[in-house]
Amino acid sequence: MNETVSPLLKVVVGIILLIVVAPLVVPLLMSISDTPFIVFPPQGFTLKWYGAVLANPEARASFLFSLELAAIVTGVSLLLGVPCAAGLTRFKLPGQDAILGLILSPLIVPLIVTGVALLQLFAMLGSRATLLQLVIGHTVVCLPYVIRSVSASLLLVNRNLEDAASVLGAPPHIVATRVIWPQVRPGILAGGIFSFIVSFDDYPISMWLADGNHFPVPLYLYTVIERSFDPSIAAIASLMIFFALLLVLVIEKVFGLSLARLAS
Amino acid sequence: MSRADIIDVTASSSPDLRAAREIPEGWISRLAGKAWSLLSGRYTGYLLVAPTVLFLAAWFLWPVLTMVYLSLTAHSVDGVMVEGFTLENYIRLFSSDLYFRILMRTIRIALMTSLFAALFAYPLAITIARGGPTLARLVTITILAPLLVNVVVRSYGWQTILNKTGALAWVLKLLGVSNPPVLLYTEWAVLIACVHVYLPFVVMPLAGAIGRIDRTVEEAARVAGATRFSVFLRVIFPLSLPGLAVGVSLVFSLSAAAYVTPQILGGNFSPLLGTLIEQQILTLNDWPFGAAISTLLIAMVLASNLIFLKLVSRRFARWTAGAR
Amino acid sequence: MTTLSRRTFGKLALGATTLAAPMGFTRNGWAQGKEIQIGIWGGSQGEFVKKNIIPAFEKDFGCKVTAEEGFTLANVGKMRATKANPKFSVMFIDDVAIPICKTEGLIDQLPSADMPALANLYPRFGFDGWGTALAISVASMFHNTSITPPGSYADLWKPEYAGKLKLVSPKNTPSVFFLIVAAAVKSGKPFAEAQYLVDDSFDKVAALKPNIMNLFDNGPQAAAEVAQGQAEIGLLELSKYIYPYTAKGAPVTMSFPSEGSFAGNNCQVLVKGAPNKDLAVAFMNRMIEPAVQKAFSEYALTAPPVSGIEFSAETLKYIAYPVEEMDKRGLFTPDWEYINAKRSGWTEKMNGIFAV
Repeated sequence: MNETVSPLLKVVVGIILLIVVAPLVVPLLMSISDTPFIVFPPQGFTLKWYGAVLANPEARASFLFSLELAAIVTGVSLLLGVPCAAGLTRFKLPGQDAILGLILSPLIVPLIVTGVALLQLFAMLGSRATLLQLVIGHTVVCLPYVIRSVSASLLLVNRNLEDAASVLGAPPHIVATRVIWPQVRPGILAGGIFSFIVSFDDYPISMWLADGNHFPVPLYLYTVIERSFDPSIAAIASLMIFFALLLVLVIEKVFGLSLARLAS
Repeated sequence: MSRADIIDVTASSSPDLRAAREIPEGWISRLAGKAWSLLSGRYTGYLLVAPTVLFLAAWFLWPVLTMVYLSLTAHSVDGVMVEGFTLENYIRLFSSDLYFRILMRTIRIALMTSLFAALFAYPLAITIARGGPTLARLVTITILAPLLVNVVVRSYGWQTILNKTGALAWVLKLLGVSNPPVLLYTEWAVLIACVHVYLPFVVMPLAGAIGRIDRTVEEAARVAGATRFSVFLRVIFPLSLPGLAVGVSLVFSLSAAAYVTPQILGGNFSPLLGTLIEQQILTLNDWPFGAAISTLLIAMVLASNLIFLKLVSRRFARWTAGAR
Repeated sequence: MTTLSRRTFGKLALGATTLAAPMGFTRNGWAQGKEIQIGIWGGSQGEFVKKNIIPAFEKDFGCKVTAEEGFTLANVGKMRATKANPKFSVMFIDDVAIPICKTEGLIDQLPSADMPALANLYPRFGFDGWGTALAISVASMFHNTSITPPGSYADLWKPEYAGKLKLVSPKNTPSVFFLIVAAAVKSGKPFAEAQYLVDDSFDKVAALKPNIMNLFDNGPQAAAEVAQGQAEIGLLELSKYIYPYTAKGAPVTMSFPSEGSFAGNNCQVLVKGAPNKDLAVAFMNRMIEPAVQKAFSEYALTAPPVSGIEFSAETLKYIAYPVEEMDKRGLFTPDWEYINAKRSGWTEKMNGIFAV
């Protein structure tokens, strides 16, 4: 079955994966240390830092807010991004390159600049709606990922199948739901997951737009690091890793997802 | 079954009509169908693209252009903005060799990150595209994991590995290296961390591209007696170039704008342009100069992306012509 | 009540009870239902403000105070970006930024008539009415307890410290203190004169480079590394970031070389055009009331800017108080107006030395 993957390749891949995982395991080890400050290697074993984090109302509020924010941002990004990707791939539009350039440019402008520029604009408009501001800021950064991944899957749609279905008398909506949708679904899911992750992990935009009532997890993490460098930071980090893993696994289970589309 | 799974994963082919028919018809599908039939209209293309374009024009282009405009204004020494236009910030940027050297370092790190990411990406991408479904999933989830972990946490993880009593020193000592080098607080540490997190951005499109390569070509080459390596060199590599181009240009852009990693892992000895931007905006309150450095960074990334894509598409045309 | 594991609950409970019962309070009906946004620092100070001072204040005034944790520089940036339409009413910033905010027109003078607690403020922490200090910490050198720190900063240039020092990055305010130290070591003059000689002292700064392991941005993290023995000495950091570790038993503490130490003044300012200004002023007054200051100082291990507070001997180990003690220790506050004008150029020179 795996005749095209040689044993040597498997060894190389194994080593690379070990290196990739190593720095992520470190916080796990540090989080169980029974010392009032971070040490490595850990001394003793305790789960009290997890208890402290989970019982902390600030940590919980941040986590729930980040979840809410990431979910809204993902929805908005898909709502805007999917039709846009369809328009870009299915139609020959004059100025297409310029449009594509605009869509991808949030990736190359330093985020700290985007953030401060947005704060200035919102202040000028007199906006006090923090949640809305954060949604807008994050969506700007998430859109490129969504559009890339959805466009990629739309480009790969097999036109022959579509034509065949039409020729056989299928009306357009049947073609859309039964021929095209199954083919682009992985791309849309991938784009959604990606924007969720990007939003959930954003610091430079939130730093400018957030306030005390809307305080995403990455900002919270920074304040904890400033307060003192005790193992609860490692515990938060580990919890974030667990959460991410859970998310990926659930999506895998529910959608039997084509993960590899994530970044393509 | 397992093969079909992977085919879906890597988009090497499309699911057939039989699979498509299994989706039940309901209001969702009818709605989607309505939406889809709209697509035949004349202005539909514009209608589809317009919301996103307007959104980005209002909430991205406009504020960012305001910042670029800011780079053309002055900022007096005591932190007060002054009215009127000036090229002062750009003159300052180009008259000191400090900024030129940091620009060069930014380009160097971004290039090396792209190069190493590409190097590590091939074995991973081939495994995803050609290995069994379990293996493909394992690889995919593992390389995506760093993206899910906050940059600060990741950086501290690396710090613990790379410092003088860290895991790397320990492994090297076991291997008999008597005086292992300390990579922490050098450019190498920055490079390692950048490759680590941006790897999936190359692997994913690459896996997609490799998955799309017709296996019969490879098999034919193998039957004709080609070694695995020459199959890679003559078939896989040239045909995967478009995927590589997408990934590498993204990695280049992202690593050029990195600013947290150079601080924590580079020990501030090797700042990149992003670090300087943060310094100007946060510490020195000199937004105009920060905006000027940002404009320089944006211009550099745009230019290199263009050059790079041109280069790759020309090569690709030549190689694929040769391969046929 | 809280889930703080890092400090004794007793101390916290004590602080909370003192705060909840301010002396002779009349009901503040005028503030009912009003809301203000304030920008505070992170760190243990921010934690205390959020968990103790604000809840008590909200209860007394029937109002809502939303606090966002940030740090001085971002706080100034936020004030600037929202200047046309202020969002925040009170900002916590370091003294270094007060002249900047003043010249840019970001802050207002305090209405001293409405702030009775100003009576106890030491005049030097009043900034001509443009704000008040809230907490004073000492900036100096910190070291691993296994080594004997040098008695003078001049010794740090010796080759025996090669690769063993951590230096604060130009991003942070104490970086300026280091430049003044370098100028003082080179010229042999006291800090007050040396601060005007920094421009000619960058050769001395460059000479220290071989001894520097890295430039750090994050004080607590640098303290943790020194405690782990990755480096021997850190230059320079505010005591509020180091002593919480020392108090917890980590092998790291501070030392005070013969040249003297610096005062790190955490302050509060009133944003120009502040929404609900009256409530903002009441909050600022609350921040410097003696009961609040005592609990706040004991929690964060900083000295209060007001007179007449009694501390235990244990607390006095970590803070320089009262003001006579600050003078005795030679706590130096730089000429920020002069330095702010120079800082951009100095940072560029620091980058030129360490970044290429």
